[in-house]
Amino acid sequence: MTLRNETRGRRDRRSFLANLATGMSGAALSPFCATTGALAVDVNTAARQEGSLRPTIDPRNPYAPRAPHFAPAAKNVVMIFCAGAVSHIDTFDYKPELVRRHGQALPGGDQLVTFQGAQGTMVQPLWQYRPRGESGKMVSDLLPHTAELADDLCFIHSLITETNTHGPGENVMCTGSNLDGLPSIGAWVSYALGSENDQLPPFVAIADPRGDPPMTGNDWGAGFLPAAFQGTDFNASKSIANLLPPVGVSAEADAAWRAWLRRLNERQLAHLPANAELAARISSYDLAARMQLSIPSVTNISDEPKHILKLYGADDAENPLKAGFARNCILARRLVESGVRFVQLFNGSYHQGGEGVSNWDGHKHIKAQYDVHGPIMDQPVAGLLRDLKQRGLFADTLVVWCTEFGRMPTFQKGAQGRDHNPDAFTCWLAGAGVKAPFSHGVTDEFGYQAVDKVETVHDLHATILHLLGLDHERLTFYHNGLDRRLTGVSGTVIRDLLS
Amino acid sequence: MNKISMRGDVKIDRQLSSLRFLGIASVLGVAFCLGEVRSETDPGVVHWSFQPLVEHALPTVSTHVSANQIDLWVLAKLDEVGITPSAMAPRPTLLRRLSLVMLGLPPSPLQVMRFVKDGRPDAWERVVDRTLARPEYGERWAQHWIDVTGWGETDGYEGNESRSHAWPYRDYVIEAWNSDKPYDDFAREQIAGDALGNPRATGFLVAGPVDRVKSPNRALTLNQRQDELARIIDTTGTAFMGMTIGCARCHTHKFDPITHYDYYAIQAVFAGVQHPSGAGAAAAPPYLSEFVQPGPTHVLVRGDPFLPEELVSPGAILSLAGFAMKAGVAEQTRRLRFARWLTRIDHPLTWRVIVNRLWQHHFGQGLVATPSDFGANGALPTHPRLLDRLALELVRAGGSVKHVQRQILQTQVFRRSHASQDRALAVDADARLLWRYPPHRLDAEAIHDSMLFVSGVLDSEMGGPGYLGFDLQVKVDREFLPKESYTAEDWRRMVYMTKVRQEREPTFGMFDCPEATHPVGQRSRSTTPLQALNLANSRFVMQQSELLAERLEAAFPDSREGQITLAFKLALLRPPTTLEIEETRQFVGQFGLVLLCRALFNSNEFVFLL
Repeated sequence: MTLRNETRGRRDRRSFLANLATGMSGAALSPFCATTGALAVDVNTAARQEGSLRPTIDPRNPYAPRAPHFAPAAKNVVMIFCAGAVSHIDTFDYKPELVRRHGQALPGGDQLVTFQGAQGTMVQPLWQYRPRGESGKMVSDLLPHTAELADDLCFIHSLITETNTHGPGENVMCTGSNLDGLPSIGAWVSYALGSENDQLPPFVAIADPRGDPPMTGNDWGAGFLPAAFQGTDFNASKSIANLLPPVGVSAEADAAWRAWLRRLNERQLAHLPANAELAARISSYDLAARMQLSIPSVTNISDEPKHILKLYGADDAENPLKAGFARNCILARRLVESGVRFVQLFNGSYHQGGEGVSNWDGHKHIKAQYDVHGPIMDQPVAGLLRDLKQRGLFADTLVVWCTEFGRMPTFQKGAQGRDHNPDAFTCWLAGAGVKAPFSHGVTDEFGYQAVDKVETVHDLHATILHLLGLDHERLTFYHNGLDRRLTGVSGTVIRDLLS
Repeated sequence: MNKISMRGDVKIDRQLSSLRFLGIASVLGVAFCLGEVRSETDPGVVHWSFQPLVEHALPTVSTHVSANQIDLWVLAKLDEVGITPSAMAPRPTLLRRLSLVMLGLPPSPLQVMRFVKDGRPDAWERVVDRTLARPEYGERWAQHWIDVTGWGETDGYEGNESRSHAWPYRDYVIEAWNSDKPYDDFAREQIAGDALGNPRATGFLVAGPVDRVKSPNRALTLNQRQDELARIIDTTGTAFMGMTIGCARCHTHKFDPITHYDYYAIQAVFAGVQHPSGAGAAAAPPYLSEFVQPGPTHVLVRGDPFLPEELVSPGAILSLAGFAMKAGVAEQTRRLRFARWLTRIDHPLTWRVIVNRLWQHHFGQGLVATPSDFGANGALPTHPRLLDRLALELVRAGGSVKHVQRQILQTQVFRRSHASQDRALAVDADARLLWRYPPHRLDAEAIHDSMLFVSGVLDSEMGGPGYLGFDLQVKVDREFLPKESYTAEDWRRMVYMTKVRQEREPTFGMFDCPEATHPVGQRSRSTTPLQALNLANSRFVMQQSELLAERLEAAFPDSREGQITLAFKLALLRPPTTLEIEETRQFVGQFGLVLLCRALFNSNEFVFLL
């Protein structure tokens, strides 16, 4: 399939160059000159391969809204990434057989060596599962608020990934590659679609109150895409760096400063007409000035009414981490409401403690640790879903809840926790364009391996792009010899999920 | 791929390798069995970059005269499309351009004045020679090379631990450029410097990230090792040959004549290269490659270490007059053999790729727009014969890069004005045909360094351990936070700023500074509001503005006009106009000199190369 696609691309590229040569207002160009013309703008802005659908970026306004490939189901995305690998066993993937055979060895698993080593016996979910909503979907008591919304969720129980270490796994979920340095999904989306808002960046990454996720900027990096499409990271308690004028520079002085700079730049531009890059820099100072107003305004959630703070749990004085995460969830809604295209909301970090202390990496003390992390995440996320619904934003917004991989149905030998499991994990979608209630794919009777309708992270990414009206095989960027895609050389839209 | 035919290729190659360069013979000789390649390229036509370097007869040019051969090739193309090139740029512009391109720093107003007043006929030649001899030259051009290697001073991945002793490789690169080390020596040493008396150069092989999260799980360990080797192969292929060899890890290259077998033959060359362990320790030795004698290498089906197929012997790309060695040959011998193959004087890629990189950094764009991809999926050269001419010039000059650069700098092309012309703009808006000097934004390092130079605090100390551009907080993991304040230790050139993977330097990183995760042949050049905010509001820039203001006040304690004039001369290398003096006097009177300095540092005139 890939070969066919690329062969088509090659042929089309050749005819494109031929067309270009003949279309050049009669100028006598050699074939090499024709190529020069084609590449004059940039190898990427010209549609080098007709198989590709590359957006044309106006350097004066890189965030201008751009048309998708086809009519989209969703306009915005909130992607909630839970760092540390949430146990599907203990949350959403109900396995009665695991309960029944609690304490027994995993069949065929006696020689099994997982990330940290040897396995003990199978351990049933540490929280009770119950049927929820009208659908009766089984969800555990770890996340009671989210469980109440089970009828609104579209589960994929059969995800697998290509690595069993956190960093590379987080990279795969956020960028499609286990290696560092590839463009993040949010960067791809803002490159493709720009933004509906001319005061805010198109892609915002909201770090957990406990700190950045382990891969930090790589999760929202632009990779080889222009830096303009990198995610801007701020949250409800930490604004972006260098947003406001330096200490001691009054608003009046700053405005005069900007006016003086503009005059200098415009006088120079008058001597150098038709220089898009110079003009773009002048415009960038205007957007920067607008952001100085819009970012403090959007992050200031003190104007939210009490019942909204309560809905998210942002008023929970007993649990400041939960309240902090809840404020981030409110910020996510406000950003989506303002037309920000892609919001990445992180839950968990490693700054205050690895291996499950401030994240979902429950190797050795999973019960105690998840009893902390569950409440931090649960009500805020449920509040976000309810709030999006009541404001009608669900119609345009896709919510993706994800993590890097799953965990084992066994406990680690000699420990009270579960090791990494790249062969089975659960994510869910909600909102625009997806079926709900719905469950797709299954794992084996213990939740050890995905066995039916097995889906890769590339499949998930292809589906997210599809919901945004983008064909993941045609959204490309030329880099180091390849027309790169978010989905590498694979990925299939999971059509089963589409409403 | 049929295994028997691959064996046959090795034989063909051995028979022919005694000849001088095989060029077409070799490409065609192997191409007959490379089904995928043939289906992608026109039958019988060898891809341009695999053809031997050829000296072409000089073109005749109708209207414009230049004694310089490079100019003739450029003028010939302009003739074809009927564009008249722009006039020569004025001397202050020229000197600023020369200095920023070659040194990454602006000249001083005094240097500009001297050059403007130099009436000798060889004034330009003299200033070019002086510039090429400056030590800042190596610092500037090392930066470009470091981009191509993706070298970094942390491990990357989730640990991102320091490699506090990786800097000797950076110093090696700076010294190599400054001493005009022959390019073939430079290339050979980075692959096999341990055998050539220059082990520092092998920092190249371990420039990339390494995943230090180890596990008893065998699949993880094997895949980590395959990723490490892939990084070495990919970087070597793109940096030196403009060949995306990495694409052949899982299957034969879709566009270029690099087979799946070739990939693993090259892997066998580098299979003994290892990252050192314990790199962060204070007393650690330099972060250079370590070498062990590797076991056998197999072709891996789809790159999967659990699907080994045929045994391979160390070698190079067969269709490019590659070689094949005995399977168990000594590790160092493999790399030496590869390095010698890579630097053959008739290698069609190696010399073209480096002169294109040189050209690119003189003009902001290469003759080939895809500097790390000279394959069938890359761009075609705008001036293929000029590219050959430059490559041959480099070979003839014994690999002297400075010789080729001197020739480029002597051209009219380099010295043209950036002024635009309507007709030329309509035909060739980005000046790929070089009818004018293409204006473009400076890169992060040049903006940073220029600011320090203009404020007068640049510390010109060369080499040695770098400085950290972040406040590092080590708790459970390592958090790189923006600095609250800067001191003289932070005012060395940015090439000495510790290259932290995944992290963009808080003020300048947004200017498309690579994160040292992948080799970068050409940086993107984007314009964003965050760049504007960082340059306007960061502590770094504000402090430099204060320092420049102090410098102005010290020079002209009692003259506002003197301060303003000096500010323009230092930052923009021109005096202010009468109107500007008037406007600025008012502005400074009300808001102070510091804000003027801050505005100059933010101006297009300051951050653009014109």
